[in-house]
Amino acid sequence: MSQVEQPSDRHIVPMSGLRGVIAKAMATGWQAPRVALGLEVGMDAPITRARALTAELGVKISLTPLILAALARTLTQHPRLNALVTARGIEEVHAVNLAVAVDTPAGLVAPVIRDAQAKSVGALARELTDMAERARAGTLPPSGYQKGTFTLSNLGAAGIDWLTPVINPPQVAILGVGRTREAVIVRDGAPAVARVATLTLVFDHRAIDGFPAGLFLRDLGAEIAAARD
Amino acid sequence: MTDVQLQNEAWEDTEEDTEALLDEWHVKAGEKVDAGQLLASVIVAKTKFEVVAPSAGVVAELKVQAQENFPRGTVLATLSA
Repeated sequence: MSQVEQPSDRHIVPMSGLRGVIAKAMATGWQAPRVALGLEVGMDAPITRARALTAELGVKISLTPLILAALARTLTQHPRLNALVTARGIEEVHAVNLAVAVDTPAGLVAPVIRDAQAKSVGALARELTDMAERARAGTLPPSGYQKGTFTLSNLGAAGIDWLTPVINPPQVAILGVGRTREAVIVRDGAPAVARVATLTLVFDHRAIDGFPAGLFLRDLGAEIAAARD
Repeated sequence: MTDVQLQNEAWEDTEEDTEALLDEWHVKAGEKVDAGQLLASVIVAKTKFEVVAPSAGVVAELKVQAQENFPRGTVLATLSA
């Protein structure tokens, strides 16, 4: 019976329900001694690949499943980032289970695509669409939010350039992706226009150090820019 | 006495140490309820569930308070006939 008395000069949103669950998770995630690293990556090849896949598969393929595929490949090579900090220690998980932040009317949720390392871009796209729809409708079962080993927060659609997301506990790291924008870059010693996006990796320094985390982000940027299937 | 628990489907395929949040009670101890009446709103991970009365009766005791977490198998309330 948590009816909140509403004063006339403001609207009070109770910190209960999904808002309360989000608040607790964020407060826990914020406890990690975290470091953020940023990298600008070229998005021309992924955009071309997304268009080709859209034509080939007959369903709209956004950049997100391409980023998920690149993440799955790179995390397989950098197991310390595909890990959980628990009472037992740092648990490096063999499967890459990618949580994807999804905005819903009730608040932020992060459905999990399990075994992403074994899925094609098309399969990742279909699963993401399906899980996001069910999450928004409130019909995704609790297990659909569990066993995540790494989280992606793509806020490109909100029009922002970059973000430093809060780690999704007990995971070791989270990737923030900003909007894809046109920028003047230097190519072969001359200015050129290219489409770029900024990646931000936020990681728990208890579990991994800055240099290996930097190498992961460098490799991830190369994988995304290469836009392989 | 009838025990009221969160339905099994909410726990299906969840991790061993999963806890649910009792978000809100819609009844008080001593209240008369019908079978199927909404008793509590519960959240597991980020999915909402409604717990309803398994039979008609009177709410004898609320065993988990609102905003408390509870593990699987927990009796949330008891109903007397």
